[in-house]
Amino acid sequence: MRKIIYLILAVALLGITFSCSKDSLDPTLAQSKSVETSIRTAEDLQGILYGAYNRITQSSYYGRDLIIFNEVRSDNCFSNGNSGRFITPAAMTLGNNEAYVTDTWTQMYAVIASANIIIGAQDIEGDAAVIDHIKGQAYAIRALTHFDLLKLYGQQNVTGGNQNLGIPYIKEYKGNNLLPARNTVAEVKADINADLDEALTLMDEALNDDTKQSITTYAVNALKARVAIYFKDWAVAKTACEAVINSGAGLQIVEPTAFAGIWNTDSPVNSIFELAFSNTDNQNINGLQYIYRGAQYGDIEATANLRDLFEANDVRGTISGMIGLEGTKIRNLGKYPSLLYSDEIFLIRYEEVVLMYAEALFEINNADANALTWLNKIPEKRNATPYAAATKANIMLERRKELCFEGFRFDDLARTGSNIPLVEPLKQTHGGPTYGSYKYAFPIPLVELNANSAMVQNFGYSSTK
Amino acid sequence: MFFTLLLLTGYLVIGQTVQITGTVTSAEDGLVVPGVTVTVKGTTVGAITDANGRYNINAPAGSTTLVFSYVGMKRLEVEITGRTVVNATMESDILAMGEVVVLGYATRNKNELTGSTVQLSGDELRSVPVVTVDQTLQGKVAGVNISSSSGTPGSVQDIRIRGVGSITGNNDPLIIIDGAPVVNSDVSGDGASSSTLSPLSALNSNDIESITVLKDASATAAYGARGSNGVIVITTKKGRQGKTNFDVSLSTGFQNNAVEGRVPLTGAQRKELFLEAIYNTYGAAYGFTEDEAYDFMVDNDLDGGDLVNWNGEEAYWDKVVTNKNAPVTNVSISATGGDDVSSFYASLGYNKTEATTIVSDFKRITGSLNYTRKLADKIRFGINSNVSNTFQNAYLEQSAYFANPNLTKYFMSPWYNPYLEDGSPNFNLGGLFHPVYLAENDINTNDFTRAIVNSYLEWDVIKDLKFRTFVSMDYNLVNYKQYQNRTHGDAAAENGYAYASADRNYNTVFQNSLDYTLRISDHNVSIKALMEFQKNKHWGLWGSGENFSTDGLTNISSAGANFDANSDFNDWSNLSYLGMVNYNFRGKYVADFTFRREGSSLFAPDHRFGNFWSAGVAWNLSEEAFIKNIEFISNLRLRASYGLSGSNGVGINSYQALLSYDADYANMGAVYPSQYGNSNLTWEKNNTLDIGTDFGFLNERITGSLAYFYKKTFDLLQNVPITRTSGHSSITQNIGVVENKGIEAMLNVALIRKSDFNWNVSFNIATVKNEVLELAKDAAGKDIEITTGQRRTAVGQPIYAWYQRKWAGVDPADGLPQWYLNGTDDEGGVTKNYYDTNIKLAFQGASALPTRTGGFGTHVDFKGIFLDANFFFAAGHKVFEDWSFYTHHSGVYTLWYYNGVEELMNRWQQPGDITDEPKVQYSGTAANASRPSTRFLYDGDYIRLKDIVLGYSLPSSIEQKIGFSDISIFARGTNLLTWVKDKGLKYDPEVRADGYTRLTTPPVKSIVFGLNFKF
Repeated sequence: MRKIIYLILAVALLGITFSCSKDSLDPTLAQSKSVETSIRTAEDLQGILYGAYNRITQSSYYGRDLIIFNEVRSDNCFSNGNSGRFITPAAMTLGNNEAYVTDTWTQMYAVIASANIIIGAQDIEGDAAVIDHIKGQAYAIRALTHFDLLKLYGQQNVTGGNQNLGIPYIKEYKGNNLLPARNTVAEVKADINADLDEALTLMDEALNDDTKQSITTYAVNALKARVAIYFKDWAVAKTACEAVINSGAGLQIVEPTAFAGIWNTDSPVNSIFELAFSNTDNQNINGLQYIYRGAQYGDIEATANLRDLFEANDVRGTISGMIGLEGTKIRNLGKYPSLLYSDEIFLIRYEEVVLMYAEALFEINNADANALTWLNKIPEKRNATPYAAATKANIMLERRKELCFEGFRFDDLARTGSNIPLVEPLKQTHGGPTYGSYKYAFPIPLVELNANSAMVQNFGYSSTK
Repeated sequence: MFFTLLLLTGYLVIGQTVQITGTVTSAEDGLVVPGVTVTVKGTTVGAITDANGRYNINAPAGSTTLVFSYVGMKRLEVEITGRTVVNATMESDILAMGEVVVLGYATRNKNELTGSTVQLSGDELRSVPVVTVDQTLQGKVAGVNISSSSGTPGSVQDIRIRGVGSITGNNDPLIIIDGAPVVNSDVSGDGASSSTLSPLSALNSNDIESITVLKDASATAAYGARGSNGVIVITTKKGRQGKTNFDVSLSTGFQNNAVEGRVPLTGAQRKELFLEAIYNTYGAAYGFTEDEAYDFMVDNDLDGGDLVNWNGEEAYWDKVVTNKNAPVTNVSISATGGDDVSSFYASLGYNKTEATTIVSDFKRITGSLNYTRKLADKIRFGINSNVSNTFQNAYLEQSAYFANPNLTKYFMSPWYNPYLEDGSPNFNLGGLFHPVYLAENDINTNDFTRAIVNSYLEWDVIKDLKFRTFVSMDYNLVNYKQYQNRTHGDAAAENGYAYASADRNYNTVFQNSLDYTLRISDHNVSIKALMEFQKNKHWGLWGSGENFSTDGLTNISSAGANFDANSDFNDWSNLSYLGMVNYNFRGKYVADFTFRREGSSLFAPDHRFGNFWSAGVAWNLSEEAFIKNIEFISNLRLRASYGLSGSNGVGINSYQALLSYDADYANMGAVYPSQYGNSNLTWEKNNTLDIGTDFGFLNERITGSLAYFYKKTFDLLQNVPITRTSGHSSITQNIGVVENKGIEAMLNVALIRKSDFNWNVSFNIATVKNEVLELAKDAAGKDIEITTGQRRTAVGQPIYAWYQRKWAGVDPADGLPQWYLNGTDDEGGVTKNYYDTNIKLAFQGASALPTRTGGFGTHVDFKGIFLDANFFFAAGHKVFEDWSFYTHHSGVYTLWYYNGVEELMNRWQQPGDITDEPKVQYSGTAANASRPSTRFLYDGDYIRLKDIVLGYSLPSSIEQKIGFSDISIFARGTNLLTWVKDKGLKYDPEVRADGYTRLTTPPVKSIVFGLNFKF
């Protein structure tokens, strides 16, 4: 009897011992760490920087959607809707509560949040140059992402509303203002340029990543040129392009024989900044591969109008299998070709810089012979006939041919004030909006309007809350 | 061996003895009572009466008293001094039977309750052909609404008790098994996309003694902190004193989808519509007639070759994916017995249930052993153990996966024949996958082992003071395996894919309690003090690989490339202190008070503890002299309770601002901010008022209850949306107020009550009105409303009220769809542009939560033949048909890419046609007619014959001859009839709590035949 009572007391004590230890109600943090205490070293910062790059690679941003938005809202591609994807972006009839509108907005600001954590980090231990190089990349990422947001959601190409409405430029992680209002387009542009300049100040050419999977000083200059081209700051563009061209980084236009091969090669000679994907770290069926090809998704088809631009020997056309038929459908077969989804996505490649340089030279002085020289450097390496003259139309045509399927076309049409060409009325569902139409901007997502009373909807879209 | 020794010591008798014999009979009918425990008072000497009610006992010399005890009869003590033959007559203890309510921590006589509870006995659960016991509650308990996440056996049930209080937090009730709170979320290895698996699928319903639903603050107070959403107390069967009895229950039957659902278009219908669409779209512009549409199609390759290649044979994909008359088998054997010192209950159960969709089935084997023993005079020991293995063949059913056979039924083109001429499967299916091939070659299984062991020691320290220590251990192991074949399907491009995971969850509960009972003349007080600590640990581990070099080997070890693996761990714990006082005066006036202080690791360090309480009173009027004199009233009581309970239904570590490390970039570990955090996060709270009456008239021929409740949930655990520019989408906050109020009534009438003829009817109804009173506000003072899909939460509306465009029908002039601009009526005019910037979305007057639910039933027995029928109804809510964008598309989605439903045949064809189906067009947008609007929002009201049982119990005269007892045979039908008010709602009206129809296995109707007997 007594023994049993001891036993009872022992068992009871066991329960009390378990529960009354000091930390009994402290949960274990096994996968995550607290934000407040976990950013102390350069290595911690580098991890967050990779986190920002990782966020850029997601489907809702450069992993697929942003690139496809800019192809289907153009004369390059259309959505056949086979799996129900990209129907409304292609028809340019987006509702304010659609995933395309919401997810991309959300993802881009998530990238900015990651960048802002790095920019705001204080008292970091480690090599000051390394820390600055990381911080510089964060500034560049913040600029790039705001620029992409502006191009998608800003009102600069829409007439009828307030053309000054840009997007909120966020410079602080967990800042006090949880109701940020939209900055003007001019403010956004100024902030982008300021961030890119800060990036150049902080970054060190010697620390540039040879794999080009991180932003380098050349990439920052190329971005600067891209922003300048968009805003017609030709002189700035010219200087920035020259910084890349004369960098001595060994950047080259890829040879015609190598052209088809660069799409599943990591870090080729023409790459300035590419997003890393691997066999195990990729967007899988939600990447570019499955949306451009195949029976499962394969929603995005190329127009015959695009295919027919290429001369018979042009390595970007059907001769090298870059464009071709899959059944009766015209497809992008060559870019992002891997079935294992591991192809890198070029965010900036040298050919774009060459064409931007040609354009800047041409715009600064229409008679500048160098413009034609630089323009023709591309067709020369593609087995295509060189142009007889550098004209805006020729430059834009060459950009379309060189950069098709990579997400440039819509922005090129918009920044040159062009209508969206209706080249296949039976397939293109947007019906060819004219420049200035409200459709040139995405709607601000309903979830943002609902959570942020300072937010203003874009012209032409419902702000039904 | 060990057990045997222990048992022997119990019978150890020392010294001289006197032999006493006798027979025990029942006072009611004079029949002998077998299985009565007879003990000599003050000793451990005992015996049990045999089949003839006789016993034989060797009492130590000097013994004075024999004690006769038997479940359901009043304990009897008989003086034996100087006697050798002692016959006893025992009276039945009606009050003890069915009147005791198990509350989890305590057991109370029904007259001592002040709260609202409903208890179902094991008999009501027995032989119901469902695999998770919670499914049996539907329609039986007023105010409890249960809907199945899928008809796939083993799937998780959505349980809502008295409405919903939380917006983005958890609304699931707390589940208690044998006194221990358990974890009850989906355990499936891939429940987000494949079939879910309820942890309750591990229990055999034949092992359940009772299920009690605790609804109000007084009843749930003991679980105060986590009782906000109600509590379901499951008690397993325990050993009974008496000779060993075996109980056998066998049933077998078959099941089919309860509601057929929509019917897909046949190939011929689709062809007719497709050509009409081409004519409607291009006929005028290109100058051809409807008859020439086919030629125009061929010339312009408008069908991608699909229609041209169709040989005219109908494919009937709906039949291909259906498992008709899916068999159900259930076998359960249990044994129970015991004597004065120990008792046991042991059981073995087997269940095999096939789903009505090909690929899926469920197998379960359960074993349990519950054992109690008196270790010494004042010390009792008990252990309950339940171990089971559940095997579920799951499938990708949670969304529109191309490998989902229920998608195939509605989406596969009827122009594609399932098989080629040589009999091999046709893989050329326009992007969709061949469901039969995948069923045969892919693997998606959950192998779930659950072991629950609860043990306790009870010590009667002094008279009326009891100390109890209790330990519960619940271990769940889920081995999930997925294999996608290398030939056809999701992983054909990767040349096969394998994934396996092992999730282990270990939950342990310690309780130490003191119970004290005080009786001073007419005052009865019982007091309980309890300390409880609960800890939960979860380990996850998974791996995957691709590229298989051969068929038939499906484990990761046979994969050739792209290996990936991951492991994770999390834990949480709760610490609580509980005090309960129950007082009654002569059984007339009852009062109770409960206080619980509980801390949860889910909250911020300074806000972990919350204080919860309840107070209740009851007045048993029928015990008063002035009521006792009224012949008509046999029972009448009034009760009221009020209290504060809580909920911690929030994710693990939600209060912390976190960086996550589970990403990578360029083969380097990547870090990202994953959670905004809130250092003030604490308990969600809930005030409930409950007032009710229980009554019985005409000698309990009419019994019933009526209750009113008002439940106000505040400090809601809510994911409040914040500006996405922050890099986060929400902050978890304690904010908002929601109320639920309603009336619950139950009535049972015994129309005929004779010895061999009984007829009862019963009815119950519960109403609930749910309304949001307060939401979070942004810095500018505006309510932050929460919108998900077609639902919105706003002040003045029920939680997640339907909020969308209002359909204005098809314009008879041109066949185009229309919507009301103002969202409600034609006062503001209509538009044909779905994205019209002037169009208003509006609340459509209901949410997915039924405002009225209930049941009615009848029981008839006549000379051993019995018939039970129970109906369930739900009303006042609306259901939205998901995926209707595809299945009702008036363009190429239904007519070319995928298939549609036969309602499309009613399409508008010419001016003047009055129909709800717009004209068909060769178009991807098709005027957006099938985009979400009230066109696909239906009244959810339905009535369902939940259960009908016809059976026969053999008379005991025959049973005795063949040596068996309680023999009954029965046929049971489940969900055999369903009536739906809204003729537009063709799918099963029983949908998940969010109100959307799904592409999962629909709820099933079944017919089973069974045999129960004891010996």
